[in-house]
Amino acid sequence: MGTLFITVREALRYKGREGQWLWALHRISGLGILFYLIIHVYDMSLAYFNVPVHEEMIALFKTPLFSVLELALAALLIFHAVNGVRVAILDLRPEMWANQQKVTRISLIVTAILAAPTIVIMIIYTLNANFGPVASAVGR
Amino acid sequence: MLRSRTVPRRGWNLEFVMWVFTRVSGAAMLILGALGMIGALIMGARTQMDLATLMRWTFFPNPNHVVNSNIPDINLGWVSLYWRILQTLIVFFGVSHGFNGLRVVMDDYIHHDAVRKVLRVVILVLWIAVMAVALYIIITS
Repeated sequence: MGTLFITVREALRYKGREGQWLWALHRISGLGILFYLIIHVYDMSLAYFNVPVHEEMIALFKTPLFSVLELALAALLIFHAVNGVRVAILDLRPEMWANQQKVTRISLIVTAILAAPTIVIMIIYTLNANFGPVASAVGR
Repeated sequence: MLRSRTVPRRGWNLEFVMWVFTRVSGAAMLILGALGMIGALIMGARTQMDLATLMRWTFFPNPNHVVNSNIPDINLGWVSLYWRILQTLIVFFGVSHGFNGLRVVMDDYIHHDAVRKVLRVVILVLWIAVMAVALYIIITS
């Protein structure tokens, strides 16, 4: 636990700016997606091995808390994909490191462009699934 | 507590192989996603599926898997070798990419050699278990 405290404290103190923030976000988003993947494979395997528990878990995933987490998952997945492309390109093209700030900004802008409509559409779907007539004014 | 580790010889060691694999699998997942979406649209997803179903189908094209979605009639060609190969590759690259990432992060923060070795075995077992379950679902469906 001492190591964890030092890691977090030094990560906040280190002035790596955009590059370091995206590095941290890349790790957090990757671990988050892996966490989802493990839960998801476990849950979907129960559709084969233990149907009642599987249905219980599906009902749990339809609650508002998990709907919000799903939005976060979509945003983090898109960020991880876009930022991963940035990392891979910069590893192969060191001359681009001089423009680190510009490149990180492009990464965030592309993420926003892809994530914004995704999240809006997901919210509309969620509203329609939960309170159909209310959301019919919103879309569809 | 914070001492340096010996670095393996340069060349094709595990770290370098996995560095390459991370990039290859990442690019592969983007390409497979595009192939899934394009393939579904060519097979008539525009009129047969709604957007949410198309996105779920793109990530794991398995009719028994995508619950709560309006998957078209399976007899219309939504079960084929194309989709089977696609979902096998997506599962392999996705799960391997993820667990390798977990190993890299774990290596960075666990400084005790013995603990790190144990955790590597735990991650390896988890990787095999998740992959086995996912492949079982693909093969039996």
